[in-house]
Amino acid sequence: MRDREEGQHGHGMQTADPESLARRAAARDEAVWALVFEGHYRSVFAFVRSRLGNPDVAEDIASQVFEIAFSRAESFDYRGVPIEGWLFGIARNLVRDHIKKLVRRGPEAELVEAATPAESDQTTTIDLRQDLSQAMQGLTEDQQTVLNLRFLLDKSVEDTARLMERSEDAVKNLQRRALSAMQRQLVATGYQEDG
Amino acid sequence: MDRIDALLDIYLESGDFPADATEAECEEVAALAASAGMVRASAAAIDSEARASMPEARARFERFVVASRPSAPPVRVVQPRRGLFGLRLLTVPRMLGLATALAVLIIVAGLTGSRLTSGPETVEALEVGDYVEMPGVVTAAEGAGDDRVITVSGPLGDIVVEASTETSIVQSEASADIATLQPGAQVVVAGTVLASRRIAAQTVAVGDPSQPATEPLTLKRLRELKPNLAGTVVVLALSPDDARARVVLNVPGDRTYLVTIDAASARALLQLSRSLGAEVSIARKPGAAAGEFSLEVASPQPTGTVAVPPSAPATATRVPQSPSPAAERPSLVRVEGVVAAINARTVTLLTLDGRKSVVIRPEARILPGESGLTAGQLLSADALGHLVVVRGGIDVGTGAVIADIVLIGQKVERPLQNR
Repeated sequence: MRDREEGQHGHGMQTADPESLARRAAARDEAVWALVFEGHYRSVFAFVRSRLGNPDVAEDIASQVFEIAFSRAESFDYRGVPIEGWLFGIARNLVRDHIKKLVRRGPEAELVEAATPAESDQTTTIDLRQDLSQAMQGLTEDQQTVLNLRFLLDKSVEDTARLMERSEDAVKNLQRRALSAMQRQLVATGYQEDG
Repeated sequence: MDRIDALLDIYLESGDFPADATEAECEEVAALAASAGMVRASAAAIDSEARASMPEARARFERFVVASRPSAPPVRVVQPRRGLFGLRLLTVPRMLGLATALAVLIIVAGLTGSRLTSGPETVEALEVGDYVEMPGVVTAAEGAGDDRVITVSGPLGDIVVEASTETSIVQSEASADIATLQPGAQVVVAGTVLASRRIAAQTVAVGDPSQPATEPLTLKRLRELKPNLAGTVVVLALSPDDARARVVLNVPGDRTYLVTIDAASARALLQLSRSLGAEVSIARKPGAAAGEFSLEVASPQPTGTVAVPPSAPATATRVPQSPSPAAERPSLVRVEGVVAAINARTVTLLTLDGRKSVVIRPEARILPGESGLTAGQLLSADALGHLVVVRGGIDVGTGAVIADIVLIGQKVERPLQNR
């Protein structure tokens, strides 16, 4: 669903030659960047949000991703890695920096940040999300990434492999280990082993 | 590939197990798939947040893209033409006879004679992406309802101002109807400069409803510090990266300068309740960039105005700019306090008048100064306890202050007591 909708937003991107678009993006063609934003903002937001407790911080970081990407447009080199992979790479670094800062400031800051549910969270999803978020913290960065791409962003194994620059077999193996680790974390949180 | 990896992949794709899968394998794979299902279950809520945040993020990105555009040459200099070479540039054809050329030369010399030594420069005070605060008088208004396009005549000439549902209209520190933007109304416009001398208004402060339009000022860029240079700030423009600002400075003797000032000076000016009309003196710090000056505020609460008294006719004539202490220029809303709570994009401030809610829209300019915070941290727990000064408008529905500019100050040891 997400891919289909974003495909509609990013129609121009999908019909044009990717290398030509990459060249135009590198030249800071504003029309292309508008398409990049429309096509990828929700994915980038979700990628960031899944790791952070505060939706406003997620929005800020997702926005920074596009600002940094636009600022460094000339350094984007299209060699088989789609622009989305590049955006996720920037997002990953920003999230990592943010988490490091939270850790440096101590557990109080992390609590404040995590205790800011969005309006859409006024359901039982709150608990699930918080539990998932906690469970995610126990996973490696690659494990978190593969789960987010496969199940949050609904990417295929093939797309995930391309975005993570790995083989499809490696993604399938990483996916299994990530789900196994997630299962252990959730059981430790009190979820039944049978799901 | 590992057997379980393959079975999991098949199950996730098809929801079925191959016929040769054992019961133990099926159990293990189903449990893994259940974890995947939990991640998927949170996707809808996250996507809902993503959709909700997209308009603000899009506006922020568009603003960033505009601000990243290479600046147009900031100064457009119109200089008088000189000598016979200049005469040729005045489209005199080469084949024109000597007599005609001489006649034209005499006429041109007559017309420009006095300007050859002291011709004024015309400089462009506004650049695309600037945040600007500018006074003026509405000389034309088009559009009904919440979308209104007005022409504001002021020190920079005629500027088209676009007001929309996002624009806060304030009068005497309370929200006002957009219909008050009628020809003759004295206004102060705060907003972002667009191309073609247009401003997307964030806040319009409305004052006296029957003011005459004023003559535009002829600006000269200040390149070198002049001794004892002091005057009144008429227009303030903050660069897209907040690193510097430009002020239009009216100095005694009917001279007007466009002065580039450093970030600290801009901050000092923006902290005032009325930046426009402030009396300031200009200085230059050692090591400052060429053409960049600092500014010292002489009178923090100015009451001067660039308009004439309200008894003058509404729009019939244009009158020269002249300070008139009798009529007070409208001003943006200003609130100062300590950050006590943050809820999404609403910041609660403890002020000397009690608690005030401030809405931080994505287009708000946030100046962290020496606070130790970044602009993005204003909406995080990091900002709690910091002193902030906010300028902007009023939300019609809630009465909350809508921030156009936020200056973040130091964290205070003991917050103000709520009254």
